[in-house]
Amino acid sequence: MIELTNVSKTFGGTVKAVNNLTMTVNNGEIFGFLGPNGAGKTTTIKLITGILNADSGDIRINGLDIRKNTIEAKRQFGYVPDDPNIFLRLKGVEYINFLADVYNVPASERKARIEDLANRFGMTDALGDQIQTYSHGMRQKIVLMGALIHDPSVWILDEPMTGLDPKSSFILKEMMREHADSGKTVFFSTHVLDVAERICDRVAVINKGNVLFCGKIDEMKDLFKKDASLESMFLELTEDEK
Amino acid sequence: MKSKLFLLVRVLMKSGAGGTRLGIKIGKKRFSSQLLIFIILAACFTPMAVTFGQGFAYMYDALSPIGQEGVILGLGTGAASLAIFFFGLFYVLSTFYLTSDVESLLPLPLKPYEIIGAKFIITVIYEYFTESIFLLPLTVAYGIKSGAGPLFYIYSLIVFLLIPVVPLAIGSIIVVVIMTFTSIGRNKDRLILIGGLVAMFFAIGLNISIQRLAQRSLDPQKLIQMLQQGGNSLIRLTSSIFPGIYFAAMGLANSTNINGLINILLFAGTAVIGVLLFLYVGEHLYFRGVVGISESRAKRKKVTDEELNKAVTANSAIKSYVIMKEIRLLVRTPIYFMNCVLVNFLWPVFLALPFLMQSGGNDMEQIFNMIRSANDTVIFAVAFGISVFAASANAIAASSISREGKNLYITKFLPMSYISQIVAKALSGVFFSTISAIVIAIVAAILLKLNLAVTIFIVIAGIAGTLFISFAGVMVDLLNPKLDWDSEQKAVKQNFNVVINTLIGLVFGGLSAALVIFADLALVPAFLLITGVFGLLSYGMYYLLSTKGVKLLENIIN
Repeated sequence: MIELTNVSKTFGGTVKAVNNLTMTVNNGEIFGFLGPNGAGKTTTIKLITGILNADSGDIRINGLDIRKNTIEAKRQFGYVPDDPNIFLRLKGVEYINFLADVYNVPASERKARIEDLANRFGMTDALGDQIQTYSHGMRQKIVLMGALIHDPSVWILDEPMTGLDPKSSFILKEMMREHADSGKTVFFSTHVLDVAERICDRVAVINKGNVLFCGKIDEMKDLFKKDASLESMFLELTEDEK
Repeated sequence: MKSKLFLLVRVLMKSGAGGTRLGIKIGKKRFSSQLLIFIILAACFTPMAVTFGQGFAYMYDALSPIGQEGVILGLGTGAASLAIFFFGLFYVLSTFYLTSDVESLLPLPLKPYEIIGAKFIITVIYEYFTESIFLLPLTVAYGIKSGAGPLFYIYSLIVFLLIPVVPLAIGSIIVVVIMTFTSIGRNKDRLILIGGLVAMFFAIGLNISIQRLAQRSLDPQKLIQMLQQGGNSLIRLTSSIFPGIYFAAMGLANSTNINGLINILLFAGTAVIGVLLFLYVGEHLYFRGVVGISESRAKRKKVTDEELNKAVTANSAIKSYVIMKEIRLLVRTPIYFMNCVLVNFLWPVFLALPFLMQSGGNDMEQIFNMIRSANDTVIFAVAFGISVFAASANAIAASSISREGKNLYITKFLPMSYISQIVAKALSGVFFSTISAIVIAIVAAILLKLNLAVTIFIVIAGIAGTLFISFAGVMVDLLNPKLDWDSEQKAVKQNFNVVINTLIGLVFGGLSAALVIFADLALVPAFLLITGVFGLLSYGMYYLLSTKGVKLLENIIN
């Protein structure tokens, strides 16, 4: 569960990247975070994960405050950043094992988890190679595997589908569904509205740091009083703001 | 259609491909810090330049009675060309083939000669800084001593501006040809490593020859003898390696008559020919070598069960952070390996060289015996000072935050406290510096026939000093990290924090060694004092890191 209460973040004293944001991502749901480029999606994610500090407001992950209970709060989630170009000179398996050490994954569980994840994403043949030899999609997959190695209850994924091939994308969506159905939380940002429409239980639309809508897609349809596609509602919502 | 060459030069300068070196970055803050760096660097190099100047003036006095003073000009311009050529090779390789901007330039509708020409111009400009250390003192010394007129200084300026062209053109052609016709460029990491090792061996070779030269030139008679016998052939050699140098030297030497003008024009002519030849080769070959350079090979072999078992052993978070994230990346990234790791093993070599080379000479034997007969405290103090300096110069701690670059955010979301991560970074520095201290102690023990106690004292005190200097290095880097870089070289080699920490190492290492020596302490009290003081200093620096350092890391946004 992720709770944001009156969260604001300003850059350079003037640019309000996130403005008084309040929303809750419940257990057992896939939550889609939508918005145009530069809307404040990545900033919000960085605030939730502790990469940035909010100017005001509270952020809790599974009830743990990211500022006050930092380390414990950080253990709750697995995070996939939008840029998968990290630790390029480590081998895939070394990278995963490093994260397993950092997240205290018991030695007895590691091997099985690595094998399972590698199998699912078709990465078994690449684990022994340095990450710099991977394609963009493979890098995305190894980062995903690293984020999931400690079996976190909260998944925070920044544009996770970018660069994934159709099969991996399908598997990820399947895994997100399984994870939410087991009573845990998936929070992800995306531009791909079709994906959001199909798999999200709830969505939030953000533009210029403000949440324009937060709720089920059906509720959005009620709001617009028509059975439009998410895409056309999204465009209408964000258009008004300009 | 108008050539895009100069447009590209301007863009590359602004985007930092050389711009950061030159302080051309626009923006007030940037400019003032660049200016500060420039002033400090100038202050550091001035004594060196003055020494060169004195050397040239001295040589002038020795040579003018026999009418051979022009030799200095040949020697100076020749040496500058040689240095530009060798150091340029690696720099050319990295700017032409290895920086990340290559990939963004290739898809643009630019001709090969425009890309490579723009990069060449930037390299030439960069070389002006290097050559000024040689050529400015030469011009001033020769100009004053010979009472030269304004024409000499005008010719000097022309020579100064054009001298990097031919050596760099030749170096570039060699690099382009090698990269086109061999498969060496297919493995980027290996290429950087080989190039770096060649440059390093050249630096050691240069060091040896300078020492040899200095040794022989102590006596004016011998100097003249050398210049008459071997020296002249050396000048001929340099002018035959680099066409035009002979003209440059002759032009400068004859600035008072028409011969000077003719020679300067000939010199300029060779530079033009050099550029044209380079552009021709570049136009036809550059793309063949550079396209596909970023491809990397992989085995794509299934990890066996046994390998997987070995790979997934569990470690504590901090141990894993030090070994996996810090040390392994330092060793595997060629630029880091050469500048941060290998350099630790070179110090002892550099220190031992004079002893090993000159062991035959009588003078050196005496000095050698004198050092051997010095008391243990002095040897201990000097070895300690060197260990601290070596630890500060290896750049590991002082670039530990900068090396994260745009991935610094990773330190923020990992469930590890900031102080643990800071300590882990310092420990990777301590690890390599300790190895360095041990090697220094062993080399000293063998050369100076030290007893075991002194050797052990050197290592233990060295570790205390290393701990302090590594903590200090991380603190310096936290204060003003250089995170915005596009090639790893900029994170370590062009990082001013490394210079600052080296100065700290120099001051603390030098001062403590001097204090112990002048206080005339016995060995054991000296050891206890130094170890105790640096233990306390380390603790103080740790405290600073755990309070202010953590805040700094928390507030770095990139």
